[in-house]
Amino acid sequence: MKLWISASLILLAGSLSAQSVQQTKGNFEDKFRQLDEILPTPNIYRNAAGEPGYAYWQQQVDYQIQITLDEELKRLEGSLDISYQNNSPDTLRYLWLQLDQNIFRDDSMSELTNTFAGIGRRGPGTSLANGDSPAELSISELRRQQFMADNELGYDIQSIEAANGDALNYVIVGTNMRVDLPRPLSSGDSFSLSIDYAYNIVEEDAVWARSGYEHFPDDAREGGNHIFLIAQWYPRLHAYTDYEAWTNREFLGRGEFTLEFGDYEVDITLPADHLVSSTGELQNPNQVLTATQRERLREAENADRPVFIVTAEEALENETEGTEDTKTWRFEAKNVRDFAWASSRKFIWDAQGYNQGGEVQPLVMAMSFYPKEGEPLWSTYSTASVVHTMEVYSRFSFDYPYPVAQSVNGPVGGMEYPMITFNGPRTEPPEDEEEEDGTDVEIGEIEGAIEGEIEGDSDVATESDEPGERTYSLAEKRFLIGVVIHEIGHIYFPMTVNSDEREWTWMDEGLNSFLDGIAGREWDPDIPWGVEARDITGYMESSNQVPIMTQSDSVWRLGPNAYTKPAVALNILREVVLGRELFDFAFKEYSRRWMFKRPTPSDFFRTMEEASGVDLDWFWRGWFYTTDHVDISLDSIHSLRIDTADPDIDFDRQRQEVKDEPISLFIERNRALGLIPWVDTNPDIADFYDENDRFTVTNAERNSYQSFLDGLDDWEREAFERAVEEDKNYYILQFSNLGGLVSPILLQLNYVDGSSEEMYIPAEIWRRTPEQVHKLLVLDKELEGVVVDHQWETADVDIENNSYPRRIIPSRIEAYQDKDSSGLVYRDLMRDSQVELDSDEDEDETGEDAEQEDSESE
Amino acid sequence: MIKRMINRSAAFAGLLACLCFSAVFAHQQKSTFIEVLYNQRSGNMEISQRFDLHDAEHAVQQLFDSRADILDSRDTQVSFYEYAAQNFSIERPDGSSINLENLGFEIEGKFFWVYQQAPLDPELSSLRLSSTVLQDLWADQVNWVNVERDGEIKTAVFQTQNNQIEISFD
Repeated sequence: MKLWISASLILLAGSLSAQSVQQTKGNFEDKFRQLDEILPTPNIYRNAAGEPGYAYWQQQVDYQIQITLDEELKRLEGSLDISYQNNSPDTLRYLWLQLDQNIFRDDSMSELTNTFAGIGRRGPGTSLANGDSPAELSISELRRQQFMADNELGYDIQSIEAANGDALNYVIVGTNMRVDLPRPLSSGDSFSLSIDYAYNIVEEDAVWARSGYEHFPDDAREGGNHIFLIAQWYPRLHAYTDYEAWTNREFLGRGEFTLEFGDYEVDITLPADHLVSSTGELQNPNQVLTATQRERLREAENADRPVFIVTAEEALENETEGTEDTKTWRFEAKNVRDFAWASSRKFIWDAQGYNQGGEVQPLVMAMSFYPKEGEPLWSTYSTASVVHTMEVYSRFSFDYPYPVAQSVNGPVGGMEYPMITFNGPRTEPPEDEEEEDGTDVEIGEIEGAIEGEIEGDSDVATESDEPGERTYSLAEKRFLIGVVIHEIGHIYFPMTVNSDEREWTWMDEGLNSFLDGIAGREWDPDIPWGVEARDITGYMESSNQVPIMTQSDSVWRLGPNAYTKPAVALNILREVVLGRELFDFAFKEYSRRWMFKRPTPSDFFRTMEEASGVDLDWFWRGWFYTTDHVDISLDSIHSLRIDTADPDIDFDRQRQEVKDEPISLFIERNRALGLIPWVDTNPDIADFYDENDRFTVTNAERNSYQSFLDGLDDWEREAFERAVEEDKNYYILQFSNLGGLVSPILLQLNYVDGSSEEMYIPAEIWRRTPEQVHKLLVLDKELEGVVVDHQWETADVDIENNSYPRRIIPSRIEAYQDKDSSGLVYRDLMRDSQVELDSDEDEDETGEDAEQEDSESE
Repeated sequence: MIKRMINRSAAFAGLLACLCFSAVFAHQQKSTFIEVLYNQRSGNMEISQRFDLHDAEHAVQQLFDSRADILDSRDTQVSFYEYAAQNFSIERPDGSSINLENLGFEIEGKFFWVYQQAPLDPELSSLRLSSTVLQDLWADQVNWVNVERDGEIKTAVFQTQNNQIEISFD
């Protein structure tokens, strides 16, 4: 007897179930196995429905911060008072704080583990030696190293004291700091401490940070000007959670932040001519804003278009002067998980009220801050994009929960914080009007482009009769709209639905990319936003990838892994698996449940399933826990017809089938040669079989048929006679799952009569045989062919095996070679519109010039 | 001791923009996707290089001219296409080069595509690939190459310049 020793269940499932269940015979892989075995056990903090449990808790941390910006030194110095509320059931003996600025120290773990020419490396690059080529450092990398060598970076912690003034013991561990409590902090109690600190702000472009300053050396003001984008700027508490306790993983630069909600009171002292954009609401406008600015803000509350609070002319005047005076801006923010701000004397500032109604936050001020180097793009689209984002996202989740939503231009390409985002697009100065010293054109030329464009004078404020305006490409416009939508969207996820970014990038980036794709399509469906299923197939079939459920710092290719793939998955879940009604209901339920709380992946998975009423474990397992891809092949279609058992019908059909077969080539050639068969030359010699072919029906067959009918039970006869009468078309379709990822099968049935219809087969068809299935279709009409996923909805990587009969699907290059080159898809109309039309005189002069050149050259 | 900042940033128009873009959406990196397809039907090994149009837009400003416009200028498009073609190569295991025919380029949606091909060699089961496009500009540029033969895909990731990666099919 052979002893069959099969491999254990595919390692994937085995590892996922922690070896508790093993398929030791055969090779069945249970794609539909419930995830309960690998998800955390539901408990009183997070229940099986994916809701916060009845005993859900989270800490609260309130901050009072007084900070001073020294523009010349690029340094922040100040103090913060922290009030930490222990709502956990545990007793704490220490607190862990985040010192993110320490990542820039040359002895940080991030710096020490930064590989030379390594995969997934963030920042300026390096090249290994190869053959005759030496190793290389980019100039950017040199700059980064020099900046770090020239500047004292990281936090300067000057003192840490309890509320009674006693010094507290603390230990700095890389980007973390442990503060030892003088006595254990019991459940329900709070503790207050004060920290004096300072640090030197990094130049963002030099060290590739998420914040920092940008210097404009060519501005008219002596010494130039700066934009400061300030984030990760105060020692802040790590999150203490029910699922991990202290989430004090080292900050390595890739995985973002895990934070607690709390209230903030922040005083920012800086040069008096700076404008400040900040998390929170301004508390002392009478002290820091002019009467005109305050009036314009009131006007903006009910405006249909953005209103300039600080015009371009005012900003230009402001940036040329400078001052030795300072002002203190006071902000308060309730129930936020972080605090960021920006300042500059260069800012143009516009605002528009978004009246969303409701009881929580009926009015939100959408605002944008940007230098002239962002015009006219920013005044046209930034605040409008902010408003659009709130209009769309709120439909899918909840009303925007904060009083302001801001987009600020600076050196950071795109980054998000509560109520404020940093976004990077810029415009180009005109070609022929740069000053000799390289500064941009004067404000007069810019004014022509933007004046009257806000407050309803023009819907699209890009064209102008004025010569020499800054321009931008279509791609830059799309970049601005897209990045503003995306970053403002982050205020919903994770700033409000507070997922653990350090652990799971996809929980905010993936969900946000999904929603920003929706918002983008609702802005302009002709813009390719890049979250279509077809956009991820190349990545999903590549051999270098990791599952979505991979900790942030270990992901190789964060964009496709944590942004696009989850976004595409959610699109498929919405448009294909659940439908919009079920998906939108479930997604909104998830958002509502976890608003101002901290969800984990299992909470999301469970909520979507519970609220939709559809088993989705196979979906999460395939898309999020594996690197499988979708490749459903329609291998074959077999056509069948009901056997009536009635010889008077069936024999005639069979006779016709034989007649329909191709004539034997042998016989055809004989005829062509004029060869006459013997039976035709001797027609007088014939017998019964010359008159009756093999399909002739006799009473013997008829009697047999009647016996068959007599032997049927009544219900059998009824079903059988009905099938014979209806004479439908029977097809057996064979599908293979070549990619491993089980998927619904979307069919387009194309009929001989030219019509077509669509058919949806749920993914559960794969539950017993995930590698290959057969499906019987009983149709009224005759099929001509079938196509799987004809609209490319499921991220199927190979469309060539989706059709039966097979179609020739040209490769990309074959298709390219078959068509005329389309050349440009779109142009920079802004620049083209400034080109003057050549006149006949110009053409004559051109011709004369050419002739003159020719004669001179001779 | 507080070290005074020594900061004289170079003119930053194109360079700044591209560095910003590297941090856009709080994480995205520059990457190019390249497919090498063994097309038995056409008898060719077909190479398609796909560039994000926004990346390409900034790249040409650094490569050619600060005013270069990949959307508006055919010359710029041709220059970029030639640059991309030159920065991709395939060798046989013995080191001999496979001559790639440059077919052209197109803009489709948000991507700039560059096309090349070479006749298929049925005896060739290993390739030595090199992709350095844009890595001379942005050292964080990652070029992902999927080589597909008879339904099997092997991926080569080019993170650094001057590296060759060998792909083999059994």
